[in-house]
Parts: sequence; C-alpha cells; structure tokens
Amino acid sequence: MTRLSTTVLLPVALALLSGACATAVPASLVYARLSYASSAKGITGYMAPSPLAEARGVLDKANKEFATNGDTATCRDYAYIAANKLELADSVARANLTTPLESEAPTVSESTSPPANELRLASAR
Amino acid sequence: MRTMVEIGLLIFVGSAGAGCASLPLPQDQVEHYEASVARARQMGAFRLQADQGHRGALGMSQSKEHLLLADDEMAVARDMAEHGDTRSVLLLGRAQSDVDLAIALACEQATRQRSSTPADRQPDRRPPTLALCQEWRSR
Repeated sequence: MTRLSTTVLLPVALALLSGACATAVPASLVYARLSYASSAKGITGYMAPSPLAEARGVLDKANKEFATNGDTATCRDYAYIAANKLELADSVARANLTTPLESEAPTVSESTSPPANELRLASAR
Repeated sequence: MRTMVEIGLLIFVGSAGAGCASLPLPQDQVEHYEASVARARQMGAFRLQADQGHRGALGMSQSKEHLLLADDEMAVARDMAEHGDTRSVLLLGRAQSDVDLAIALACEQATRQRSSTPADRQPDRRPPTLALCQEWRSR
C-alpha cells in the first residue's frame, strides 16, 4: 500500500499541482487589463475619470479572484463587467470631447487636465 | 438500524431540497436593471440604426447589440436564481453593465450625429435623446 502510494499517487498529485499552478490567464481578463492600460493612458483618463475608476474597481476584483482561485466563472464574469465598464468610460470620454455638458464642472482639476484643443488633437491622431 | 436509514434519508432529501431551492435576485438590483432598460427604450436605443464605422454584430447598432446581450444575460440570471445558483447575481451584474454601455453608446451616437449636422440645419429644440443623455451624463 505504501509502495502504491509513492509510485502512483505521488506523481499524480504532483501533476495536478503543477497543472493548477500553470493556469493560463483567461482571455477576457487579458482583454480587460489591456483595455484598462490603453484607456488610462488615453483621453479617458482626463475626460471620464470616475467611470474609469469604477471600471478599475471591478478589474481589481477580477485580478483578485484569479490570484486566489484561478480561472473561474466568477473571474470571467468580473473581467467581462470590467471590459464593459471600460468601454462605457471610453464612450463617455468621446462624447464629452465632442460636446461637453453645458452645466458640467470640469471632470478633473484644471491644473491636471490639458486644454480641450490639445485633447481634440490627441484623439484625432 | 431503521432509525439510521430514516435519518440518512431525511438528510438526503433535505440537502437535495436545499440544492434546488431558489435564490431570489436582489430586488434593488433588479429594479435598477429594469429602470435602465426603460431609460434605454425611452432614448430609442432599441431602434437605433448603425452609423458609418460603428456597427455592432449582424449590422445592428452597437447599442442594440448590447441591449440584446443584456436581455439574454438577465434571462440566464433569472434561470440560475430559480435553481439556487449564487452566480446569478454576477449574471445580473453582466446584464446591468451591458445596459449601461448601451445607453452610453446611444448617447455618443446622438452626440456624434448632432455635431456632424451643420448648425443652420439643427432643430431649435434639443432632440429628446440628447436631453435624456444630458440628464444621464450629469447623474
């Protein structure tokens, strides 16, 4: 019995363990991470900071779930929601760039936001 | 011995019943979802046509595509909730994120169309979709 456990069970346990450690990052999470990196660097960071922060919160949940439990349905759901929220933030930023709200206070402090003309040029490039 | 069998049977029936017990979706989140769908409908997001360079799946507008996705996800969420699956809440979250995105895309499309119309051809009154967008963006 002892021999059986060392010759059969140990390799199986090691194989399972290495399989668990090598879990690939789900495509939806990779997509959400890349989208966040691109949105945060682009006009969204200036024109729609609060939707971007909201998306970041959900992306953090997806990352945490992946770090704790690997590629689970919960992780994919959070990644999907994060990607949608990032797309929403991008859309709000583009709309704000086209026509800012009449009564809208600046979305970020004057000192940190570049002039609107500069942003329009950046988005046109 | 008979008592043991009875207890075992009771535990089995009890756990099977618990496994199939429905799990209600959070009422406030369901109401928020339904209000968002009603707002999207009011904005005309279901009737939007895809404009140049902004097409969703099957040639429909991106906004409508996300509304249809939300509808499917909500149906799955309700089904999961009926079967006691705790993931139903996350499916509801997915549906909500799709409706919110659909509203944002509808607003963006309305804004884009308005800005591409020459000033002398624009109606005096702001179109209803834009007025609703203004309200949505300033919330």
